[in-house]
Amino acid sequence: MTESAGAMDKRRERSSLRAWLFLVWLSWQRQARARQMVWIALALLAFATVVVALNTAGGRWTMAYWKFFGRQGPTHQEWLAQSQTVTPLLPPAGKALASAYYAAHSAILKESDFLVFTRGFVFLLFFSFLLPLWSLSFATEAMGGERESQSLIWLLTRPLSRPAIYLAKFVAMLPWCLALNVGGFALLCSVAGRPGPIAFRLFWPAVLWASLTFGALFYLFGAFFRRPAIVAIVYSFFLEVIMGNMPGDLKRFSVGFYARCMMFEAAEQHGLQPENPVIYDPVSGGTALWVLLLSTVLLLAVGMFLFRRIEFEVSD
Amino acid sequence: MLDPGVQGTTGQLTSPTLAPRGRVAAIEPVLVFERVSKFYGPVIGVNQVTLELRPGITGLVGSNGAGKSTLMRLAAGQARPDLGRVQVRGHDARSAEARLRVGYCPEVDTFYEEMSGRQFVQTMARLCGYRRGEAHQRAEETLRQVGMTDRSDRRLRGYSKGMRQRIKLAQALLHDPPLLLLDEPLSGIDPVGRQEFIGLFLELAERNKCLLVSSHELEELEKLTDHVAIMARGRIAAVGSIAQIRERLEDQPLSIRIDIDWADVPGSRDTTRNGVFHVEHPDRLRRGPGGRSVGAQRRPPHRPGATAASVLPGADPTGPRGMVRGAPPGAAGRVDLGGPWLSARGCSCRGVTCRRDSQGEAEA
Repeated sequence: MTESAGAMDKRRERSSLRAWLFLVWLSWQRQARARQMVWIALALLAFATVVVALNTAGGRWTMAYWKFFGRQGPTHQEWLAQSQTVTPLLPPAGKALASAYYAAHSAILKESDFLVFTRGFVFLLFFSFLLPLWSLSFATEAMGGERESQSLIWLLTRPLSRPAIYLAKFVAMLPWCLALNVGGFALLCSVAGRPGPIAFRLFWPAVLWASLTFGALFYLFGAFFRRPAIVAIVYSFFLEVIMGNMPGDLKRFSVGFYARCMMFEAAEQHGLQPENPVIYDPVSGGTALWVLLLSTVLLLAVGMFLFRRIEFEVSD
Repeated sequence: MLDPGVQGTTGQLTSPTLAPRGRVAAIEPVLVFERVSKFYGPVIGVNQVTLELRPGITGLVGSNGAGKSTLMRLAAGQARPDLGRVQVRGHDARSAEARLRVGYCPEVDTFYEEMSGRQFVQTMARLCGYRRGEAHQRAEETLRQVGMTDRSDRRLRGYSKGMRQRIKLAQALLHDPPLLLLDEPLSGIDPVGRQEFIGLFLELAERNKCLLVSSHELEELEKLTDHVAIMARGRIAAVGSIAQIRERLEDQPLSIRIDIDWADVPGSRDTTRNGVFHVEHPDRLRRGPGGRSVGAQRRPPHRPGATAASVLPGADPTGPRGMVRGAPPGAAGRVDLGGPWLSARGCSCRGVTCRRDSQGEAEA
């Protein structure tokens, strides 16, 4: 009787929810201790910002500098200037037609900045390189850092269930991961001139959901692989790129595919579409969002299940 | 009590009670191993262990690789048994309910190094789910118990081994668990600190706690408890009081089997040293501080040289006491130590592989 009363008292004075919330807080604080990967990520952000700013200053977010006819002819700008020199020689009706054509061409060149910025920077650099790298910098450290330093034992010996520990560290990692990805994207867009704000307004949901899914995936890597950052880099720059660009259904296993599908739909009115829609066969934005959301939940569930069973050796 | 199967080969031993100082089996067991086996690939870490621990101190002795730490990890829920089950007060050892009842002082020596000792212990208390005030109070109390109150504001990365052991112990005591699993807790502690720790352990045992303390050294545990479980090759080789185990071993000569892999013998290419190897008798390891032989009167004198000569053809028995010199390539045989020896370390050898034999069964 006395023992059970003592047990009741103990239960009252401690709470699993309080312990879980403290673990989230502790893990969030420990994530703030920038490690090697985070410093690399921040250096890349600084570098990318400078590159974007320089391009903006040089007015390079436009097709005016593109050479056409097999990239060997004059640029669009040069061609327009040369063509306009012969306009006075045209008959009046031809002049009007030519003027209208040149005006339309100039307008297209001016409006092309969004597409150039999207394809040349957002797709090529941000989504293929920066976003996965920034995601993995925090996500692999969240559990992998504790695992490699062997301090994970202190969490595993606390009276918290293992799935709860796994979830807590993921929740603690998310603000950092999302802040770096969405915040970094916002910073880059802010220095991109006219197309930047448009791109941010249209694409931030895709960045957010892709970050979430990448975060869950790389966090899983961190919990179960010895060199999680390397595994995540290999996945991002080989499997994601290869799978994401394969014809057929294989690309549907890549996170980037669904993020791009969301972006294609969001920027449809700006003329953004896959280079070959028939081969690319994008899914709708809504479907892509659900796939990313469910993938995140599934990856978390798989991680929690495996984490409950895994044994961490002393040498781990 | 000494289990009837202590000297058997099955290792499936049941200790109906491991309650030193007169406690009886009627007390509910705190920790129960039921035919537990744990494999690491093809290697068996723990082999069919059945064990019940009740309040009191139990020493867990064994050489490196005997399975002590694996047994500890199984009890702490850090490893999953491949066969059998481990329960703490009726809860599966892997459950959060069981962890609430276990204080684990692991072998690993890593912390959140950027924290101070006090911060670390407080953090561990908060992770147990206590409110801030309660956590601070418990942290201070356990720091006082381990003698770290005035030294715990330094960062952990600057701590000595002994101080780190104290912090490890403090975090294990935080939630006042009925079961304490202490993996080599006295390792790296100075003699004064050891006495303090031993006093603390005895005090905890008096408060009805169940302590399982692992060590390589039996002498260390002798000061703490007379109840030990001896592990060898993943099995519980013996359970009971040290005196009882020694008595049983009196009848069974202990010998060292020497298998020589000549390629590994230092100097084997040097003809002047060819065949020279050394076997240091455990007696050398049994001497305590100041050269005092621990419990030497219980042991008959040994005759390593003479015995070695009789079993190792070509061996020169003129080496110093405790040393066997000279044997031809490929020699193998036994060195009779002249009586029962109970040393967790056994013997140390250079250039040869030694294994202690007991009743015909090789022990690692």
